[in-house]
Amino acid sequence: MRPLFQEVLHLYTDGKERSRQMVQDELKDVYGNFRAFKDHQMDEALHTAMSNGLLAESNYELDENGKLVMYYQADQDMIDLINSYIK
Amino acid sequence: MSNNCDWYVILAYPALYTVQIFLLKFHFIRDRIIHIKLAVLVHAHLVIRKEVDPFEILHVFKLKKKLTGGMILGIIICFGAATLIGSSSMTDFDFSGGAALGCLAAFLAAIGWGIEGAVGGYACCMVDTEIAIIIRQCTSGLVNAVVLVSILSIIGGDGIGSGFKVLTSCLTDAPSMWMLFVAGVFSSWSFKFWYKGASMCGAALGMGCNGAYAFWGPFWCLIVCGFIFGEEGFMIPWQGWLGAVIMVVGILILAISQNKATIQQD
Repeated sequence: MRPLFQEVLHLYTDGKERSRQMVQDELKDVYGNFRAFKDHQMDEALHTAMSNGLLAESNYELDENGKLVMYYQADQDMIDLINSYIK
Repeated sequence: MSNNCDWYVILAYPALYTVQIFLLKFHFIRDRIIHIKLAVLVHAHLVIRKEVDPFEILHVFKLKKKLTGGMILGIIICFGAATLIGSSSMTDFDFSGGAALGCLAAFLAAIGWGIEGAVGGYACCMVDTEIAIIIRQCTSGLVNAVVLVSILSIIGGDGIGSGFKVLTSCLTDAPSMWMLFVAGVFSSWSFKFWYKGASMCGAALGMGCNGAYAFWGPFWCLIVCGFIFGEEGFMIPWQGWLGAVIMVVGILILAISQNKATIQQD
């Protein structure tokens, strides 16, 4: 079983666009009770990956509560980089 | 590697930082030179845990973010401001061999620190920042306690064992342990937020902001030692205040240029 953040990056290697909520829905079964699974920390993890060139911001919208929802996506260069980091 | 690690985090941080803070007393050159070893050791640690390919460190040096002219200007301004603050403690300007060697050592140390910023940013993508900083500080504390104490004892001419005798006598000195413990707790928070900030902003801006410690160190010494405890001699000279203002300007330029470069890249 991979560490949580590596599993998050692994999800993005299929090139699809995802928000933090979508990532959490996909990983809820296995990682749901992890301390780092909380919204705030997952947001920071995705932002950290973006700052280090592993993901890119592709879209954003406001949800029904007026909160910002950011969508991230990895293009081919980034997918290759992620795959080289994670075995 | 479990993420339910609260109990040993709470115990490990103060213990490790207590040793770390004490060992800073031994550094007559700035302690940055140890970070070159640390960057390599953290990487080695991750390799041993089979979480990382041994050659991935080469990827770190691929510039994913272009360094634009504005960013380089911001970095140079920050560097100049830190030099200005540091110059207030230099008494005479003799460009002798010793001073040149010291400057070269400090430059190498700064390169090591920059490498650590980049490697740390990468590490924080892979694992949580708290775990990354624990690995970093465990390695740092052990290497300082074993390797650096021995090296400095040899340089000081007292033989290898003398450093360890001083180390054990310090750790058993009850009246000062509370101070080291408090310093350790604050250091752990400070380092944790440094790693988090540097990884979320990128290496260039993270290191630029990190340079502000050259001002904040003397400033809090002034507040705590000078005003609260009433000791003499902690007033900051004019170079410190001017350097702080210049540093803020440099960081602003760096952040704005990085923001523009990111927008242009999309």
